[in-house]
Amino acid sequence: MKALGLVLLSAALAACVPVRGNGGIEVVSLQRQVDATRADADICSALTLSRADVARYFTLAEVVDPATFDAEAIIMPCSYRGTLRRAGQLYHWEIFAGGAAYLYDGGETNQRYLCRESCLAALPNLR
Amino acid sequence: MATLDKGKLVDPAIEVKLYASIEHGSLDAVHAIVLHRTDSSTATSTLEAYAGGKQTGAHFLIDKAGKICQTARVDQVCWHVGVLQARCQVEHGCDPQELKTIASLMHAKGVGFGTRAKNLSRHELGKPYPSRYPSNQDSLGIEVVGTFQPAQKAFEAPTPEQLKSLKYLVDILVGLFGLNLLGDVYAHGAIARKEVTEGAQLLQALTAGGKP
Repeated sequence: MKALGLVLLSAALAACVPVRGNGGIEVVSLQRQVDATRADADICSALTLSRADVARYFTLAEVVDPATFDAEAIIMPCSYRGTLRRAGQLYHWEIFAGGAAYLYDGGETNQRYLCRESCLAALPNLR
Repeated sequence: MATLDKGKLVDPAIEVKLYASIEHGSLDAVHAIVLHRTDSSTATSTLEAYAGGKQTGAHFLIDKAGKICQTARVDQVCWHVGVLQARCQVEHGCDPQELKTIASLMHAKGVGFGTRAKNLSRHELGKPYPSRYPSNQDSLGIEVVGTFQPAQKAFEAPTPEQLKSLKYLVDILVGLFGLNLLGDVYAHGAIARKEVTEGAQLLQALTAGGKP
């Protein structure tokens, strides 16, 4: 009984703390964003991402150069934004429905990501 | 006065340096101009990407010093527009049946966000301009060098030299192709599935008489 209590307590605490998992990424915060000025923002209710999804995203998605991002990224009116910690460094991130993303720190890091087939297969909510 | 020679602009202020990889066949009509930003700090990375075989690109590139480079002939299609938004939906002009069609495409079950957006774009391409936004098949693209800052959701401000050159180039193209500056020049972010702010500063400077 005591053991079950400990398990339940652990589960409850786990829901409150940042997720640390894939690739040593700790997702510190996340918030859903909808650009209501876009005509079809009503499709956004279908986008849901968890902290674990975000950590998985930045493990599976591909860093691309701005030219490739410019050519391939589809910027939908729905995204999630937040911060994550990787190797002790805090970054801001934004992931759009469909799989494009930014990772930046306001300084040197200003990266573009694309989530292609295998990545999208692992993150079906993002597809 | 600029002239055209086999798709190349002949003008002392425009350097012609064509990249075969971004030319994709005959452009039979020019109905519009689309204004882009490179998301780069120099022209070099864009030109290197073209030289390396990148297939997407625009007809012109303006660097930070205001130098204009023609990178594709104006009688050739460039893949520069991407996935179109539905014009009548954006501008609140759809008839009820068309709104239903758009909604059914964008809410299709079992289809990913990207695919839904592409399907709607394909639907748009079936309409004549200007019932839809300009496409690769009937527009010229101008890239203006500048980075995107995700935190601000904004592109860096174009330099005065870039704005001066952009106005110079757009005036030439509007004259050559009989376009309307106020109706046929578009910011990329306003018509396609891109950052909303892409090209907005450029269009504002062109149409509102922003200081060059």
